[in-house]
Amino acid sequence: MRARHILLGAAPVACALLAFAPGAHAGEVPRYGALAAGHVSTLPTAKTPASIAAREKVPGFFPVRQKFSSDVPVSARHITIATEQKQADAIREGSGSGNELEVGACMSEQQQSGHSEDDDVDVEAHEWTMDQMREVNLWPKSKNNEQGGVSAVHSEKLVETNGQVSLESVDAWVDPVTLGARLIGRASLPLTLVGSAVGGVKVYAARDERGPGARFVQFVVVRPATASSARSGTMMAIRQDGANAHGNGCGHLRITLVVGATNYDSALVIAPVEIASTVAAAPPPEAALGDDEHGADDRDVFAEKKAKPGMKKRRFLRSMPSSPSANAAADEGAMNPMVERESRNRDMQIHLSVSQSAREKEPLLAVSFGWAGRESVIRSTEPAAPAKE
Amino acid sequence: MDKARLGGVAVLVVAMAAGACGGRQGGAAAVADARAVGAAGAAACNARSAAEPLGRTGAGATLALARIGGRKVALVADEDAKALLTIDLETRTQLAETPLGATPGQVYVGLDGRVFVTLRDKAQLAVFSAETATSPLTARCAVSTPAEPIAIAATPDDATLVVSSGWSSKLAAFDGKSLASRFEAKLAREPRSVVISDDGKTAFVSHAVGSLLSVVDLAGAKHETKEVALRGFGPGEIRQVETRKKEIAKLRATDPTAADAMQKDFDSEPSKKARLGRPSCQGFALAKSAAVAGRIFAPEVTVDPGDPEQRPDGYGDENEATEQPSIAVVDEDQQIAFPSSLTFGREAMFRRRGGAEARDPHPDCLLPRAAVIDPKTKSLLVTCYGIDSVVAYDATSGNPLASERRRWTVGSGPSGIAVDGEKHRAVVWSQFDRTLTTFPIGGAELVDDRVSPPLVQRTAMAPLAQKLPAEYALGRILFHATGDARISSDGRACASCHPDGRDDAITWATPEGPRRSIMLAGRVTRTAPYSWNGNENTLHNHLGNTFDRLSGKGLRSIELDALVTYLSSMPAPAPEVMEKAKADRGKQIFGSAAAGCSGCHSGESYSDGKNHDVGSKHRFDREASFNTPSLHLVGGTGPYFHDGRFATLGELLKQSDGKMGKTAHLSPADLDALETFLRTL
Repeated sequence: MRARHILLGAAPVACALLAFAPGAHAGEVPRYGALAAGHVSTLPTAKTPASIAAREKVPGFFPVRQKFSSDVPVSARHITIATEQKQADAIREGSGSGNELEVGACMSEQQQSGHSEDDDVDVEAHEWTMDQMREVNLWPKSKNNEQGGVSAVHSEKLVETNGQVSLESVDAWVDPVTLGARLIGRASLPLTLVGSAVGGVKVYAARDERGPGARFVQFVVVRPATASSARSGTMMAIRQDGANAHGNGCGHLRITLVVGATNYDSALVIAPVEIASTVAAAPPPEAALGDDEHGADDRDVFAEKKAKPGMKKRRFLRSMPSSPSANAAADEGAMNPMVERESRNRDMQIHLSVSQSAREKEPLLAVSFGWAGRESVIRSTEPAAPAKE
Repeated sequence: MDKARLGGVAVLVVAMAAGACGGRQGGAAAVADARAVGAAGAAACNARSAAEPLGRTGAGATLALARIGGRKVALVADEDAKALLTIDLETRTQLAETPLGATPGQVYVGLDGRVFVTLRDKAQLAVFSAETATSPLTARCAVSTPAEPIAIAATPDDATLVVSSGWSSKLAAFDGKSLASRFEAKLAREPRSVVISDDGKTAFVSHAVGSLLSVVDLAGAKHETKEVALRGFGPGEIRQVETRKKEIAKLRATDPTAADAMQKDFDSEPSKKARLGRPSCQGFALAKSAAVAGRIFAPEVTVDPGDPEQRPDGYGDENEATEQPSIAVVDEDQQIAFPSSLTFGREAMFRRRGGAEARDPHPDCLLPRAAVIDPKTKSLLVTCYGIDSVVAYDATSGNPLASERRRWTVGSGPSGIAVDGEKHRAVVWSQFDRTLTTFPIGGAELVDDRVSPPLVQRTAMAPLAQKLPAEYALGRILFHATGDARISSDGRACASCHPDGRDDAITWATPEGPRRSIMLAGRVTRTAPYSWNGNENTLHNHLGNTFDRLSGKGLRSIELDALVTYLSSMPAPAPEVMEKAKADRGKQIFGSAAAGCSGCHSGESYSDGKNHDVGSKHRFDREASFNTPSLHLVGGTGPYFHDGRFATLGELLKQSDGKMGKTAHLSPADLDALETFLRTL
């Protein structure tokens, strides 16, 4: 009940979860048997309802119809299911979808997993797609869209209850005409922390055992919700079988790896992360903030020999891309003292693996972190924090 | 030092003369018997030694850590100095040099402190003892081995030592105490590294070419050999094969006829070929550790040689990465490779995000040369030529390649690595610049390089008494340069297709048709004109043309000269000793008019330098005539013909009858004699 309450309430950001992470510290991955067991809901097997009354609602599902201009055909006018009220309000009012922050829950809509139906890999035939988004769109059924109409939608969210982190999933039918929603089912997956890295990235895992031949390890990669992560957006996973998935703007990405005597499953997740700056905020080097950087560089090249100590570093910093807000900040700086900050961003690769040799009594989990791209540094100027009185 | 060095040489020469007696005549069994130490050997071989092995892995390397008289040292097999260096690990200063008079392969410190060294160009396993850290080791005895001994490994109790021999393609086993020969097992081409199972009953051997790992039974009477295929598969390919098998089985229950048809298609040659996966090579290193018991790690490189039917502009498909690294994980007990570890590759994953170069700051390890496990972090540390780096991977992963944790830049040509467990640091020997590098390995967690930059300490050893020619040294670096746009656009090095100067045993798709890579070491100077069609008269021109094919921008003339110098100086492997009478009979047949071999295969290089049509045109070849290839070192360079159509020399001799000489009239014994003679060239 408490978990449900949290699911309904204001989104507890991932940062809050990080403080309550039970399990291993970095570099030491728990045994498979030490993981808690639970389930993630699977695709519904029941027949799709023809329609759902508008009065039917499911907590955590916020279907909303945005305003379309009159030249958009009716059949193309989709509805959006948001995971939070404020996000739904923003969509309804046409003031964006609240992209400035990642939301707490991830959604998927009904479709087959990364493998076609021809694939006879039964263990995964009923999985929700690995793509996870901050919202999903549904279209009404029409002559041009026979697939439209009532659809199943999956929502999942990390929840912390008394220090225990779990992934709570709720599935519902949603009618794009009436905006009604009907509960299909719920599932809970208690998670164990299996790895962590700089930038606040955490990886959780749980056993998901559904019977002989259908064993999985569910990995959940969590990235702290920051302005930078919202900007750089997508986490991406590629499994060794080529199936790929995205986690777009919803704070976590779940990857399902198959466990079995002949299976050795692995995936690689690429997650853009913000890492702590090593340079303390400082007053801007010159008054010419927001100058054309190439022009500044040209001028500096000739001044190189006479440069004073510290100038070279400042020029280097200035040569880095300025944030879009630089000019606005410079204007503001005319009135308030400004400081220069740097934001360091880098793609992190997170490798997840489940494998087992003949000698190993249980599957061996591996979680490892590495850098997948070069670091990018964005300089920005902001009003200095007011001095303490 | 000079005095000590001279003393060392004298002791070595005397001891080796005593130990390596017996000659190497006779058949396989006789040759094995002859490897037993001489009269003075057994006792000398068992001399006491003050060395105590550190970080024992049960396998040799180009460097081994030991404690001698309380000092922690690295014993380094320095192939340029042709000596064993003793280097203080704390100060990284060279304490002593033990001349070997031959090119060392690997060094191994036994449980009893004896130091074993393979001598590649002498076909010997030499045994030394240590007295103090500051004095050269004392040569105790030596036993002969099959040609070109390289790697050493020992059973956990050191009761049996095994030595892999590259050119002769053998694994020789010796009694750990007396060094009496136990047996020899014939392997596939170019064996390199060896590790032994925890129960001491099985040896695992990597191969520089051939897409395989050999598994040799050490305990049984027959010492049978099994080959584990190491071929790369694209994402989803393994699953597709399994799915198709299930479909056939399911269909058989309802429609046997349709199931038969599907099975027929499944078993068809194109389908089989597709299922074989990409070939691999560069199997120079193996690693295993109790920290991840039951798993053996084999860094290698998978190769896409292209489709001959497409006749690409270069060597292989110019639109795909032809070489991709891989780290095969072999199940020690089941003796199979984890399919996940053969799935390439990391590069494909990054490409989906908009280009590997744009996203991935790490150049690929295309020339892995040595590997070791750090038990503390369960990391696999791999040294890489070309990028001169050590790369750490997660050894608990089913696909370690995708789990890179960190990398460190080390000296040029890192040929050996060991872990100093006490200080939790890696020790790396780099042959090209003769430096010893040490660095703390740190934890398994990801670090911010700006906050915790890698702490690497590198020290050069004492200069060589006889300096290497500068052109040779530069040429060697260029030969192994990966990711060099002057050489290729896709990162390939010369050494990618010519590992150790040999050939990769792979048939490539080229504009002229399918073409086998050719062996270079010891063959280049005498085999003009170059290319299978004999199009190029000089090596300079041929190299320029090769860089064009690889979409490389080309080298400056001074660099090209250096590369030519290196190619021309690469030593040929010492030939295997064959039964003389049989070889003589083979020579007689070779020169006979009836066989007609020597008409074209004439002169010092066994080639008339002319083009001939011997009916070997492949349907994708542009031309029918080919330049007579030199037969120099022909015994170790299969598969044969320009398109690799004959797997063995024996097959070639039988099946090319009438088109290229005549062999149908030869008895099996004469055919065997002819083949034996060819193997002596």
